[in-house]
Amino acid sequence: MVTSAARSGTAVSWDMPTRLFHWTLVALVVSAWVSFQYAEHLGDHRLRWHRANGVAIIVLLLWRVMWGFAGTSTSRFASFLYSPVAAARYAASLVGGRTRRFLGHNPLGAYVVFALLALASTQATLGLFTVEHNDIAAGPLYRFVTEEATKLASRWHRILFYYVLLPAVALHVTANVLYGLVKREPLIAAMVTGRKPNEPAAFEDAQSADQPPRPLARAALLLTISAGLVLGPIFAVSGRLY
Amino acid sequence: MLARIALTVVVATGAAVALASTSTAQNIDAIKARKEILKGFGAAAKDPGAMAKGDAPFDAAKVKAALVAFQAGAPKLPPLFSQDAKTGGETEALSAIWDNKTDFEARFVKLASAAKAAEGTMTDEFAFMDAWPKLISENCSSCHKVYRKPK
Repeated sequence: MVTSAARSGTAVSWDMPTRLFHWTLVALVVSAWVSFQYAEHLGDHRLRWHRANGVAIIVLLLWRVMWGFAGTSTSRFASFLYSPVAAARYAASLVGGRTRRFLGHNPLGAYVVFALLALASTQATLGLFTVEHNDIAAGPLYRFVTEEATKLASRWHRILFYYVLLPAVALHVTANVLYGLVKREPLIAAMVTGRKPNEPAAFEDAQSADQPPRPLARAALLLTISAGLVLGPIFAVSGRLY
Repeated sequence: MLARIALTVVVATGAAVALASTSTAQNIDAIKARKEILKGFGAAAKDPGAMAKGDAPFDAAKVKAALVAFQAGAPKLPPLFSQDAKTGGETEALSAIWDNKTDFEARFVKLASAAKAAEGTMTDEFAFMDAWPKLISENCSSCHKVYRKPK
């Protein structure tokens, strides 16, 4: 079903569930950082909010994986699986000042998106096995690995966030801001409105996004399944949800 | 002539090395001493930490021992972070300590008084489960975040 009928010269690029996912993930990552960094000031000594945040992020990311197979065409992974050569060619066109436009992710941005999803997944999963260095809080699965492994998980939970995930997010934000300022491509606005302008050049990947029937109901069902798949096993083995 | 130049170079180099080592000489004993006290805090907090995680049953004596260790060690720490004990000895202390000396030293006063107050309140498991994480979070974790190299 084609749902991108031109409206004021724009085309549907991102469906509502994908946009909700994106901004909810942003909010949860910011909240996870604040709730750890300022735990004492917030009175959350056992890092309850931080831990719940982490599990919510895992639920959300699992949902995104499912949506990568069952969502609107631009959100499906198959639509933005590009070869390294395609990414390099796209990068060369950027440097050369050519404007190549994509309704979904461009070949270079696609790699950043996959990297961000992988990094956020790794970060949140490590948190399940992490123990706060003064033993006052722990992820729900810390008992299932050795003390050495919890120390390693805790160490990498910190290193990955500050030295890999944050720089990757900074790169992602900077690139999107530059697209708006330099190339006049309102990518951030598109992630809010779900639409991209048809002008000044045609999209290379698709002219319209194919949306599955009842996308919101489908997304809600997948979110329920995702929550069950994440929270069920965690609760079953640890007696805690987060 | 060549010998005089060589001698001058040797003497000048020696003087420079001596001067440099004097200006950067660090009180390694102080660093070792404070590390011992802080390691002692960690050791004393290990059992209550296990109790807080639910890995060990509540033991009032071990909790009290930790609180007493905090009270005994805290007043000894500020002088051990002197201006000549910033580096060396594999210290994990950050330079922020010496940039915020008043705040840093006040934290040890706060730790000692919080530990003293807790002696009277952490007497049963229920009070302990609430109060221990608060004590450690507000006094240990919050200090480590600002003043200690991340592990």
